[in-house]
Amino acid sequence: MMKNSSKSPSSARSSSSLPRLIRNLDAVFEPKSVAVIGASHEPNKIGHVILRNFLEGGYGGEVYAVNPNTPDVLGVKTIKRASDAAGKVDCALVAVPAQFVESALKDSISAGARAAVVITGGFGEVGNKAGEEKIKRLALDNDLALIGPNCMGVLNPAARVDSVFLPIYKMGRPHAGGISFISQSGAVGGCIVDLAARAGVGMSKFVSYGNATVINEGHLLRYLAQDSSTQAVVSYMEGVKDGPLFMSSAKVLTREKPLVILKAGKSKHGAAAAASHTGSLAGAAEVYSAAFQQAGALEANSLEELFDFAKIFTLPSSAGSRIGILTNGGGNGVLAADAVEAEGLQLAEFSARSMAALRSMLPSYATPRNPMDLIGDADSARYERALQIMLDDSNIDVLVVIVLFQTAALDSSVINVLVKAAQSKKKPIVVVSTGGEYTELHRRILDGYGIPTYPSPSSAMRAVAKFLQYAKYRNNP
Amino acid sequence: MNCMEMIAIQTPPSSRRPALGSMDFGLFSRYRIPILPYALAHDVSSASASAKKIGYPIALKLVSSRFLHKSDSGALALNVRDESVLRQEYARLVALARGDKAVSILVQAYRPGRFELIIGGRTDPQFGPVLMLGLGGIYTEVLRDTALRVCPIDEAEARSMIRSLRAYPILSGARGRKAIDEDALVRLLLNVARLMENEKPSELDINPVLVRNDGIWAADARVLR
Repeated sequence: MMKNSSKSPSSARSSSSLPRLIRNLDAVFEPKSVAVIGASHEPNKIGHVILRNFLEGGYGGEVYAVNPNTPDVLGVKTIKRASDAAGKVDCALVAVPAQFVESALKDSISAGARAAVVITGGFGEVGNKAGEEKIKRLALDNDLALIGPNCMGVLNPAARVDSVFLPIYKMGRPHAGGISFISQSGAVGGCIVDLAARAGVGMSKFVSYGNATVINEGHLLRYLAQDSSTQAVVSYMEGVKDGPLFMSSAKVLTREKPLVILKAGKSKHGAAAAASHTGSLAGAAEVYSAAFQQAGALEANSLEELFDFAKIFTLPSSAGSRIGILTNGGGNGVLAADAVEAEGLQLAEFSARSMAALRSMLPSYATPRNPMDLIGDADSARYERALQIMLDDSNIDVLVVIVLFQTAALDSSVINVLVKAAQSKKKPIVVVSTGGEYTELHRRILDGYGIPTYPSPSSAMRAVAKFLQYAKYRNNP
Repeated sequence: MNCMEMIAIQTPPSSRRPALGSMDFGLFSRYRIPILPYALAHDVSSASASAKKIGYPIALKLVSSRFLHKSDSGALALNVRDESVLRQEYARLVALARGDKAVSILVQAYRPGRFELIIGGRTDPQFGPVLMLGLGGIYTEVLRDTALRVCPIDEAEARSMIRSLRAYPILSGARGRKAIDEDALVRLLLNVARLMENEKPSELDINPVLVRNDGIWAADARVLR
């Protein structure tokens, strides 16, 4: 896996036109120093997990542990309050009970904090609107970019920032990459991040924003629009907090990079659940879909789709929708051709040159046509030659490569063939592999190299269709 | 939500809302939304006089908050071709409304359209005013061929609403049919969007919107404050 150990912040700093509240989000994602307020000895306490993440995760900035009741935690000398910090506190990570949050924030502000991540629950979501209103006013009066409350934390793998309170031995952390993910729900966020880590999909920023009391989805989208290390944004939401801000931010973002949204609470039953879950009321499903479309956002209908769509957007953009299919299994090729039509895409017609080249390299019992069936006895050398021809064919815009790892003739070296083809950056390439553990292992390796893989032709083609839909929108909004 | 229906062209004069006769047909004319010619009648002879003035065929519509879905409850008579049918239908509608304090009946031009559309709106708690365009008439609910936009919208967006309907090929003149005046529909959509943004009614229905050779007309409309 690639690891980005560079400490230098990668975000564009040409953002002086943004409101200070949004600019201060860089203290959330790239803080120069943090104070863990509620640092604890107890391994099952949130303040313990977060402090440990920063101490052991390679974070380069100053870490303060705040706890008035103990002299040290995890070998770090504690301070009684954030305002006792020797230096400036850039970002406060708050994990004390709700009734202490306001004073913790005041201390942090006097210590110079520009941002805070308030993990603590017990505010609007349980009816404590007054408590939530207090911290909101405090934050807004001081331009404090406050994430939460009632959230799960923030990740920035490149800067080794990790305030997610799920222990690393329970939830994997993805390596640094191009996908940023904002999630209203901490639980769903945790699942996706864990999946991304397992699948080897790199992540730029992850934030669980909870009650969105101060910083809501609109602020985050506006920030990520100018964040140069973010290539694509994925969002899980139950309801927008600020419709007009969401619309304007999403429009700015989608002119630069894709935005994929999974909106939960669309059924009547789901809507009621969402309202009681985060204290945010979900609007009518159709209006959400219309708003997303108007803002140029792509909608996913399930967690699987959210993940499937997200990973395709790290590929170089393509303008055309002519699909070339390469396979070592005939039936899978036919399914892929059906999926091409179902998604409103076109099956490419190979150029005469490609036809001749394919004919000369293929065994006599294989026919050059799209979907290109290399037959079950294809080895990686046959894949390599066919890939080369298809990559050079200007009649093909996107390559969907089906690899059935189960065949006797094919070995793991096909991975290198695919990676080399992808790294040529001549065309976007996605891989479809359906199968069990052996197949899954190879898929993970490919995903780790930044080649999006899918378990079925239909899921791959759905993602390709979204990929092309966005390319079209971006060229002609 | 106040569920009292305020039908711009149907509010009885006795209602707390301002009376909306042909003189003060405020809301829709203020936003240049053309409604087929109409008049309110309180007895059969004034209905007959209005019908003559408007020109047969006409439609009779019972003005009553008890009959929100007029076509389902039989609270209207369409395509009334002459005075004898008018007298007959007028009597039927009055009987239907028995018990209502002030009965009035709307006399309106009955003109067929080449197409029937629906233009609607609602004020969404998250996104504010939204505008809807759909295939109208009796197919609205069945086909659910609609386009929805969050306001404000510009001309391009209004045009994209029309073009995103599944029925657009038919509207634009497939199989030799006369195409709709797309520019006129764009203007109408922008006018309704302006109404939505300024007045922020909780719901608005203009249904059917008739596409005719002499323009695009609303035949019925209601606003929920």
